[in-house]
Amino acid sequence: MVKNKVKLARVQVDLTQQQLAEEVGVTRQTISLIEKGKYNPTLKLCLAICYAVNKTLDEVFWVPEEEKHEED
Amino acid sequence: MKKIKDERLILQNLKNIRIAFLVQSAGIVAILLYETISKGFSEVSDNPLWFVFILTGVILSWLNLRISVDMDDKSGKKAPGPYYPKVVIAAVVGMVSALLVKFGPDGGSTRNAIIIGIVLFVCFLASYSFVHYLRKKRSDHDG
Repeated sequence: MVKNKVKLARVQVDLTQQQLAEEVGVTRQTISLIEKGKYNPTLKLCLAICYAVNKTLDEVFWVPEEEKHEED
Repeated sequence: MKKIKDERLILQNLKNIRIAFLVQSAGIVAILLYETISKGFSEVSDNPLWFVFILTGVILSWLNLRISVDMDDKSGKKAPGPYYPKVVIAAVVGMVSALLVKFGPDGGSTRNAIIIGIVLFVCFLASYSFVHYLRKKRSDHDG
């Protein structure tokens, strides 16, 4: 489980999963799995998502270490 | 078929290929084993499947050299040693085996001895050179 704020960021710029997927060049299922924290994307894909939602890596993918351990 | 661009699906595809490879290898081993039991080993080594099996094994171990070179980082040596001792080792192996063929119990012809010597020399030199090249490339990256 890898927590992130992709869903929040995506909704803020008014994109559907399908639109975001097309923009970063993956399938909708991959976006869905990333949002659920069930797929660990490569840094390249993370950057592409960040560019698409106009946010930094920090804002979308940063999780404080304590929270991460609680999740595991 | 469209080219897969999704990284998750590319990974999944590789995993599927790995499973298919395992099944195929298991099948080849099963067929070869069956042939060995029913017809004897000399029949098996004439079988083209045997050649395919050995070839895949050789290719896999050559490709895995890249992995082993990265794995034995612990030895602490950064730069690879000079190249000439490897040539000398390969030459010695080639020469010793040529002499063994010529003067050993089999007593082969000089022509056979030279061919075997050269083949072994080239094989040893090729693998030593590849590892040397990988180590050198890695130490260049580190530096």
